[in-house]
Amino acid sequence: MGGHDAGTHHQFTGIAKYFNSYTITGRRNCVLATYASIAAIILFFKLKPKKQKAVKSRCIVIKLGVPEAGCPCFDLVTMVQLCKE
Amino acid sequence: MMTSFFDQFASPSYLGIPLIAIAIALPWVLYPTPSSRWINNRLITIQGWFINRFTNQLLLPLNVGGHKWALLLASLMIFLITINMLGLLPYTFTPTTQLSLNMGFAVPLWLATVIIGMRNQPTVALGHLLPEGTPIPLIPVLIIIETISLLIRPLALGVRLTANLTAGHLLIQLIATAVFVLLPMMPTVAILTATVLFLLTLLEVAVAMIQAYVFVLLLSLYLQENV
Repeated sequence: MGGHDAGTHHQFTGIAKYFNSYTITGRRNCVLATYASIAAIILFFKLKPKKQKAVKSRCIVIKLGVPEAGCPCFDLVTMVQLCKE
Repeated sequence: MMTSFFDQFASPSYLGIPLIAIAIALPWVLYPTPSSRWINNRLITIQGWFINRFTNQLLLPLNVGGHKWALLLASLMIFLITINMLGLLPYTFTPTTQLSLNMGFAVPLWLATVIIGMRNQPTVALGHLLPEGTPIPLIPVLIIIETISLLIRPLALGVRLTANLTAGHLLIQLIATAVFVLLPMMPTVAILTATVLFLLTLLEVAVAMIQAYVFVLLLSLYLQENV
C-alpha cells in the first residue's frame, strides 16, 4: 500500500481524531500512548510496596542432649540450633 | 602448534602491536589522490567517474538534507569494498570479519539516522513506528514489533557483513584444504573440488562487493526515513 499520508480525506471525530492509524499525528499519538502505558506498567511493578515479613529475632540455643539410638557419636551431643521466636 | 580453521580470523598482532590498524589503513593508500589539475590522467578520471556515478545513484532517493551524507556513504562503500576484496587474496586478514569493526560502523551510523529523525521531524519519525491502516486491536502489538525491528537494525547490519564474509572465507579454506588432501589420493575428485573452489571464489568476489553495497544501501534507506 502507498505510504503517503493524505489525512485530509479522513474525517475523524472524538478520540479517533487524536488516536488513529491513518494520520501521521494519530500514529504518533498511538506510539506515544503505547510507550507511556508500558512505562506506567513497569513503574507500577517497581514502586509496588512489597509485603513486609514480620521481623523475627533469632536466637542461638546450645543444648546438651543425649544422642539418638544408633548414633555413632559421643555421649554428650552439642546441638546448636537456630530457633525462631 | 595446532592450527584450526578459525586462525585466519584472529586479529593479528606483532610484538604486542595490533596489525589491524595497518589492515584498515591500507585501502586509503591504494587509491590515487585526485590532483588539482583540470584534466587528470586516465586512472584518476575513471576512479572519479565511478565514485561520482555510484554516489549519484545512492543519493537519488534522498532529499537535499540527506546529501550531506554523500561523502560519508561514498567513502564507507569504497572502504568496505576494498577491504572485502583484499581479504580474498591468500593469506590476508580481512578486518570486516571482525564483528567489533562492523558493529563499530553500524551502531553509530544507525544511531545518527535515528537521532536526526527524532530531532528534525519527531512526529514523522515516531509515526513510522505504526504502519498506516493498522486495525485498532493490533496497534500496540505492531508498535512493539516495529520498535524491536528498529532496535535490531544495527545488529543485523553488523552481523550480516560479518557472517557473510566469515562464512565465505571459511568455505574457501575448507574446500581448498579438501583439494590439497584429495590431490594425492583421488586426483579426479580433487580436480572437481578445485572447480567448485574456483566457482566459490567467484561467488565470494560477488559477495564481497554486494555485502559492502548492501551495508551502505541500508544505511541510506534508514537515512531516507529520517531526513
